Amino acid sequence: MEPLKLTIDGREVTTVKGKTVIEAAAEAGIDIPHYCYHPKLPIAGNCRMCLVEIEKMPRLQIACNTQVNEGMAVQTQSPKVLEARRAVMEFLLVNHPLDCPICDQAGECRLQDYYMAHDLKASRFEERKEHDYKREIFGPHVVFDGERCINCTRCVRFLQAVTRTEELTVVDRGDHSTIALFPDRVLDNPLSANVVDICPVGALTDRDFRFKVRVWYLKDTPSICPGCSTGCNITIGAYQNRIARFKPRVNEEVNSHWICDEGRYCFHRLTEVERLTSPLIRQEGGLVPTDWETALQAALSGLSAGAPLAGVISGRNTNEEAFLFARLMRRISSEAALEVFYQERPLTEVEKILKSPDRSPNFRGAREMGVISNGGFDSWLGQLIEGKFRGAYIVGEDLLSALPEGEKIKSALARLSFLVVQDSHLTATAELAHVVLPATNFAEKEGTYTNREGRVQKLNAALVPPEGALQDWEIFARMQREAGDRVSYSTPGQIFQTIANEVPRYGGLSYLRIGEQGAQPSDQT
Amino acid sequence: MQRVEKMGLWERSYLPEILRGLIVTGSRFWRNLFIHTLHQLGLAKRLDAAMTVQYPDERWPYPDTYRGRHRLTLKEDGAVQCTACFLCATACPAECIYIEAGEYPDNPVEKYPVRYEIDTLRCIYCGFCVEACPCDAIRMDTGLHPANWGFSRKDFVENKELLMDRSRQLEAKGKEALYEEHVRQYQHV
Ligand code: SF4
Ligand code: SF4
Ligand code: SF4
Ligand code: SF4
Ligand code: FES
Repeated sequence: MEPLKLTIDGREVTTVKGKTVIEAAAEAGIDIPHYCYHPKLPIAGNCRMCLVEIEKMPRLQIACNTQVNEGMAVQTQSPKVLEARRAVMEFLLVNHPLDCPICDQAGECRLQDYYMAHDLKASRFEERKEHDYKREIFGPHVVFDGERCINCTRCVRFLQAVTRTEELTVVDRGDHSTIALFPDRVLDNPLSANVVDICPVGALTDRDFRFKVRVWYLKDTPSICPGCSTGCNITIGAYQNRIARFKPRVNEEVNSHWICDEGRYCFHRLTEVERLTSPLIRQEGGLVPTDWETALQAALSGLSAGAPLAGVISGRNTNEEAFLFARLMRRISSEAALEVFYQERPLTEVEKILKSPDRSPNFRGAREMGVISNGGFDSWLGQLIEGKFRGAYIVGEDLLSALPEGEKIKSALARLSFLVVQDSHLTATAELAHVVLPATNFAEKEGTYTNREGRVQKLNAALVPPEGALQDWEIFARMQREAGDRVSYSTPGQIFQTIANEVPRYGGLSYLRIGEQGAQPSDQT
Repeated sequence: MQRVEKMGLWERSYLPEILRGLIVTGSRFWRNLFIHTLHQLGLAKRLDAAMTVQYPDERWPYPDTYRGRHRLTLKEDGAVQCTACFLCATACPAECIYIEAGEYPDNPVEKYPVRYEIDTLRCIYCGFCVEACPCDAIRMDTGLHPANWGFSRKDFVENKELLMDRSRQLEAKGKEALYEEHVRQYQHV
């Protein structure tokens, strides 16, 4: 790679040969307005929004498809450029409907943004606007509004270059040009909803998010997708303490710009449940509400008398929680058989672009925290079904409903002398428990996940847990205190400090170093 | 602020000033009582008694710009005009507008409010919602006073049906009659 120098808006920029002007500008922090250009898609050069003036070139050039040259002098804000952009905007808006009040894109729409920045004049168009489809269902997650489409072809190129499923194409010419499904095709590939994110306007919108809330009401929290152990970076958009949507967050080391559909909508399954708001204890055959003190004491004494003891934690529990869980269980019985819930399923070719075969985003991290037995989860489960354990502590997973061996697990659990279940809601498994402890879901936690590749990434709390529930780590800490240990954690951050001191691979890490993009500790240390 | 509190001997001797005050209020009282009695007997109609407006029997006309209770305007087919764009709720400084948006199954274009509620206990009648609306879907031109009694907080939450019905009432009866109806409930309190 040959380094070369050019100037953009009078600033000297160093880059390498082969880059385009728009890329070189982005590296230098200069944003050149654009619609069709996307860093992860092939160049189309059709929107003409990225026009810039280049010295010694007679006409304006598109920045997305012009390669840099030594000594090039680029102007992105000259009067000529601004005039051209204004003209491009005017053309794009010729047939554009006045839909902003009912358009889900409003508030994060590039047409709105660039109009405010460049055009700002009333329409001079006097003829009748072209009309088009207003609600074309493209697939289970995506709906298309033809009038709003600016024919940038980002969606088409995504389906050609990333998923290679090619459901969409451009049809017709001129004013009538639009995007359409190929005959007999449905936009239902496992990454389909990403086209909504890359559509720079409101032409493709998310059926799940449709009309739910205006985007400016959303409280955005950077976090990690709880769908599988790929650990895609996401932004959780919450409204009135409920999750309204997941959006991918760019991380070139993990998920680039994408997330899969299963992950995108998994929050429904995980958070839209009737929450437990008080601990429950078994009395005369039924589960009755009780206070935390009683519940924790009962759980502790029941488990203490329950050796051989088994413990399983969900792959959605954080490292901090797994660390305390392992400590607590080994404190109660040094022989306790601990495992992380793990189950694989087959993936299709398109799914493999992103997805991992499991549904346990933090199985690797939890094992590294000491929640690990010799034979892995399947052998642990086998032992449970064979009746090798007398007491068990199940955290965050509904074993009964999640696994095909449900019936066998049910009778095995019923034979236990003592069972504690900790979950956000009353699952089928929890109904068999002697003590049920109400805990939080992934969106209410702060902590870290370690993905399949070993990258440590940070979760942040987007929702407030219901009154009466406690954070999982808090429950473990209180039980340990109940057992007579001195535990003085008051935030997950403090637990992570202990982890960094005690677990070799995590040495030197801190929340600060993990930051929003995660950190990959070296495996050797 | 510095108050002038220096009083002369006359003021400080107290009684004379008290008497003077009693004479002023007393003469007003007797004059009003006398003229009101004459009015009751149908006499001296042209003499004004006390300057109080005898609300709710009498009232001043309100200017056209008076911001009264809200209404949701209707389309020609009687459906609600509002498209649930949330701009009113966004503009509202009291955060008292609650909207839930939905989609007509048979009309591919429009979005509409499944729920639209104004908590009039929080509303400060500023009119920003009316200014913000791109569809002229909400107005405060009813000339009606905000409700000032109820049995629970819920009684003060005006929902979509009520707000739409107010448009129909206004259309059918006109502003004056609507006001009369509104004020009648106070006359019996
Ligand atoms: S695409 Fe953008 S400009 Fe067009 S209606 Fe939607 S928000 Fe408005
Ligand atoms: S639907 Fe969106 S992404 Fe696709 S061509 Fe139209 S504007 Fe571009
Ligand atoms: S009048 Fe003002 S306070 Fe009342 S609903 Fe409208 S915007 Fe809100
Ligand atoms: S601003 Fe107008 S159209 Fe929009 S939600 Fe409010 S009343 Fe409805
Ligand atoms: S971004 Fe360059 S032409 Fe569209």
